[in-house]
Amino acid sequence: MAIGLAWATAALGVFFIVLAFDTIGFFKKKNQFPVDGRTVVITGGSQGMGRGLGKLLAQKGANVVIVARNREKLKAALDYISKSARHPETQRFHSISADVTKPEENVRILQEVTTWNNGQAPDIVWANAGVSAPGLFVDTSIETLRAQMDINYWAAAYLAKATLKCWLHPSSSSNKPFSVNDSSLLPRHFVMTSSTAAFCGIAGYSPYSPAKAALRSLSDSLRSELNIYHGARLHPSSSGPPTDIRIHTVFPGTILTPGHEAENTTKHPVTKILEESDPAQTEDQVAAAAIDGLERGYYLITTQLLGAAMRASALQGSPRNNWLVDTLFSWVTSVAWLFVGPDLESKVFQYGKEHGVYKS
Amino acid sequence: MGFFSRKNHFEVDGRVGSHTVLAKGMGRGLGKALAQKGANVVLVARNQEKLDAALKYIAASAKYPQSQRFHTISADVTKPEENARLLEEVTAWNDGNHPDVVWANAGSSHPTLFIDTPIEILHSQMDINYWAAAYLSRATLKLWLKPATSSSKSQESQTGPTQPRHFIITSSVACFVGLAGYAPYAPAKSALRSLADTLRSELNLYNGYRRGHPSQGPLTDVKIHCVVPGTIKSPGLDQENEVKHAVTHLLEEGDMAQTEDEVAVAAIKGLESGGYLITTQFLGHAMRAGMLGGSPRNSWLVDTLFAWVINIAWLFIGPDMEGKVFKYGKTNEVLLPA
Repeated sequence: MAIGLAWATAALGVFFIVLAFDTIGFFKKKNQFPVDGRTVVITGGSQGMGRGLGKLLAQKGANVVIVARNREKLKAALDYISKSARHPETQRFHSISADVTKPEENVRILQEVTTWNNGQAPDIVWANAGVSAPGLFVDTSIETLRAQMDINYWAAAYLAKATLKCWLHPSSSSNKPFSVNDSSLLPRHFVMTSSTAAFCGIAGYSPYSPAKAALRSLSDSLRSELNIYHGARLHPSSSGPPTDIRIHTVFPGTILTPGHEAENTTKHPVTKILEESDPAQTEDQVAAAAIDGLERGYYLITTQLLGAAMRASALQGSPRNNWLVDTLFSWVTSVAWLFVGPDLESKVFQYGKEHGVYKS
Repeated sequence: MGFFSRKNHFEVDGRVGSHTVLAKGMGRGLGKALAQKGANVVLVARNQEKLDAALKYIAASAKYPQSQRFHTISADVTKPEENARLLEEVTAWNDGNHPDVVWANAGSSHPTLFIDTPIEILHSQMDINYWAAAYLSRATLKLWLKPATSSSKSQESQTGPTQPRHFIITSSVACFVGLAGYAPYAPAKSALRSLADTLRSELNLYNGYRRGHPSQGPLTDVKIHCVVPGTIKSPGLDQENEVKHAVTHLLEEGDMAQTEDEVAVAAIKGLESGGYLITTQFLGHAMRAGMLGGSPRNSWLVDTLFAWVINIAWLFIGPDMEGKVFKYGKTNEVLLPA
């Protein structure tokens, strides 16, 4: 018995030491998101997180295409991004003006990028466009509710469909993938930008949170589905897609951007109270955290600790980034929510009790 | 957990419940169960013949056949104005009183692989599974949250303390997990759960206001609930299974299926216990425990321990399910884009 206990204690000790080293990133892992020389498309790329991503990916050697509606903003952003190019002589930059809430526009984006990219489909597509228009549910018009779903969910779903139709096409001259050498075909990546709003319900976010939650669900479903096509690549007689496809979803919290300023003009005071102590990041901080997660091969990626905690409490069947850390973190957060949840609700209740709720 | 509290948090005897339903399946089961408990029931669906048949079936279960009332309204709940209209009609039929319980139950599943699904179907799935409930909740809350001073006279004459009104949304366990083949359906059901969580937070504002300003606030407290069933044996399931991809059938192998009556009974039991996020069978309970997030717990102890256990279980179940899908692709014909 004593010997058994001694071994168990020793094993537990080793376990925690390994955990500590792993958590601090001691075990160097291969970059799961190489971008140097590859082509990336980013929607919502003319400002905010999209612009931050463009700049960072340019610094890492990628050819970058940004998509937005406003041509002037696109031009300014493109100038800004291309200045950060790692290989200014060879890296290429492009912008496309499009309304991503229309399915056909997403097909056009893929076609234009492929043409611009010497007949090669892009390697990485990032559905990043999104806007938050928070307000109380009964005070929000149906047009706004639908517009929020259009930009925050449908834009990404349409882009996913257009991109996957392109990437899952059997190997052909128009679906030539990027290869480091003949034997190594790098996976392609489809990334979606959701929000920590997907993980919990906060008064005032009813136009926005459901769309972001839908994105997470789409991500999980597609991730499951892509296994079919990856399996098909090994089918004896099949002409499967040329590369694997990795899907990832990023969940930022508050980002200090022009979009955020606009958001705060419609936001109800009670929402601001609930978000009071939330950390806010700059576009560069968010971009760095997102790409760090991608390079580690993570699937659901958060950009700061609060986001990580929220994700941990809503893991369900989503693949873990680190099985040990995620599991322990989820246990801790499920206890934390026992206190945080009721506290948030009582703050709203108190606010209602003391203030008016009806518009004059 | 039940031992200490026996209060019924979902009194329906004598109250008017209106629910949108595909007049078959879970909605019909709910109508019958509520009729048995003494409620006046209004069914809503598109097809008038199916509604008439369902009405007969439900009325036959009335607790007080002499005094209970039943009604049907044919409407297309994917349109916002139809939701406002059906509430007006129920109110008129109910002697000028708004319904006490509204249940947004309409929904249907079209599980096909994402790249094989036309955009029109992706849209219609979102319309019936998310927008119908969003429109109905908005129209209902706009009525229920009106200041008490603007309510009709007959409501003020209700005897006894005013009971809370209940808005109930039917989601699906599909909102708790991502399965190959459910991309048209699961995101809409996930959006529903998020809407329920958000509205739950928001309703505290109005309930709080009522506490601080009893005569200026809404007439009653408003409570919201989200019922999350799994597989239900119904005509809807038969249609679903016709289009469902083989790999989805594979992943759902062994999942428990309930009858419309079993689901209805379990849902109402959850409501009577004062639950918020209500599942109807064990697999649903387990899936809910793994995705609690910030949602209010039904039982803090059970939910928390269950969450810990489920979290570990998924470390094995998740990769196993992905492996099944991968293997399917490896050994079967897969349709690639032309």
